[in-house]
Amino acid sequence: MVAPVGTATDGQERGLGMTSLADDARADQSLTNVAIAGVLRVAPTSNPLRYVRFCLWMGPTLLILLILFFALLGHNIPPYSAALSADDIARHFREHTTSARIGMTGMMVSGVLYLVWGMGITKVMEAAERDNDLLSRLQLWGAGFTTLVLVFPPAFWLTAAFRPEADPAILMMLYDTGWIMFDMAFSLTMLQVTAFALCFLNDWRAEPLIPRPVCWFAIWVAVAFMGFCFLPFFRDGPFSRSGFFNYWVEFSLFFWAMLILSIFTLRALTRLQRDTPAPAPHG
Amino acid sequence: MVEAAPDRSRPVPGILTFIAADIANFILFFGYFMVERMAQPALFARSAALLDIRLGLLNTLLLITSGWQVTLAVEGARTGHMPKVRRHLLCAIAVGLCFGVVKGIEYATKIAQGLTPRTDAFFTFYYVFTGIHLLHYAIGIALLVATFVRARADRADPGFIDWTISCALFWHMVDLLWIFLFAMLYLQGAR
Amino acid sequence: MTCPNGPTAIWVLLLLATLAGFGGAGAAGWGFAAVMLAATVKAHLVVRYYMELRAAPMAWRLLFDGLVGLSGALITALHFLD
Repeated sequence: MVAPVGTATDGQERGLGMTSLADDARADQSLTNVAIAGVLRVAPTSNPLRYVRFCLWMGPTLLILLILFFALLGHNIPPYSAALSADDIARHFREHTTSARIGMTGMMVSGVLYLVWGMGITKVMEAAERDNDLLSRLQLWGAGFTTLVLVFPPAFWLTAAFRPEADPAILMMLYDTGWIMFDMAFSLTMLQVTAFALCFLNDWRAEPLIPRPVCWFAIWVAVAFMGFCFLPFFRDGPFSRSGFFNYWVEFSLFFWAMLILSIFTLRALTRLQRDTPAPAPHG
Repeated sequence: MVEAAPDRSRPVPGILTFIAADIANFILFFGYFMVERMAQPALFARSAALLDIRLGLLNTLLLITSGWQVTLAVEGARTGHMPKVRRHLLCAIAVGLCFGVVKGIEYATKIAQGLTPRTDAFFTFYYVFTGIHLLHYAIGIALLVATFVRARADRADPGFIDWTISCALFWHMVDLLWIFLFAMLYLQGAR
Repeated sequence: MTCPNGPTAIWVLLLLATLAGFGGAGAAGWGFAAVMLAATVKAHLVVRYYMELRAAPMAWRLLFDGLVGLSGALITALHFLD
């Protein structure tokens, strides 16, 4: 918003009666500015997609922050096996106290970006909704609750890192509680990605805003998340929390979905902005 | 009538993306199972012999038959012959439900014999793989029932045909995955 | 309503392949390879005729034939490695 500032200065100069050839030219310029500024002031143009791109970029941003805080500093690639003894788990918190504290604090602070990202997706979904806004709102609630899943489990891990001298059995229970809350709340993210997919599968455009394969990928992610149901039954093996299927396949799908949904909603947004005619000023 | 000549210009249903991803997921299951099996083939074969292959065979036949009925229902949907759609869907659902009953009997018998997911590595895989498959099966049955409810109308709208084709594809995937699970879990012996 | 070359014929073929595969129950080595071959042929028939992939573009047919072939080949190959 440079124009109003410049205009104010020019108006002051004109008021002081400083007229020369150069000033005339500037005055002309400033009159144009006044005109534009007047339009801007009286009738601000509406841009329904303002901030949406920023919101959508919070997806990849959060992805990087999670890799840094949760995965690297939290020593969670993969997590400690549920088959380890309490003393082994306690040793982690005693050896990596500081990095765990930094990582979990960072995760709790940055987790809120998931909601911002979900709100960006909601605005893109609204462009594909015909009958009502039910699916975009379900998606937003799913994203909002998933945000809690990113914020609460690290509180347990942070508590353990906060008092690493505590009884190993307590540290192990805190570690387990965090992981069980993290993995077993998958239905919230299932809701988000399913609502996303159903919305864009019903897109009426000849070329849908989000390609159908991406929607079906999202539905597949939702179905694959059901594999977490086996987690409470195994402390080791491929279906335990650190096992091949539950960690490397299903858990990583959460991050793949974040990446792929971000890429394609950003592309859809570019298309929406291109297709939207120049915003007309309101009355 | 549509069966006569393959029409390559017809757009591919989007659900095939899902199905391909899901089959790829199961290929990971197959690979993991077989690699674990390499460590203790005798134990895997001994445990596999404890499964009732007659029930496995029965379930294979049930799914194949149900899938056949679904193809006939799709044929009916394409030609707009709604009574045919309803008739074959009902058959497909009825035969399909038998699969769940047989599976339930099988699980109950195994658990009564003390064979649980914790028994050994083979039974862990057996319960998890067949459990995940059963979840797909339950979704498939729900989709078939939903299609049947939609088919009560007298006329098929274009949306109905696409919906029916997609649900049928999902149901065939359940069939396809079971074919491999049956061979791998029930029929495999050790040298 | 059903012509002899339609889904019903495929269903009969699938039943026969199932029973043929069942004959090799509990087999190992080449016996199990035959079982897996029967299973792969069945899966191929399901993909081609039940799922109507024979009418799909080349890329989709290759993908699904590849997935079915990979499933059968993977299980069979790893069986021989034990």
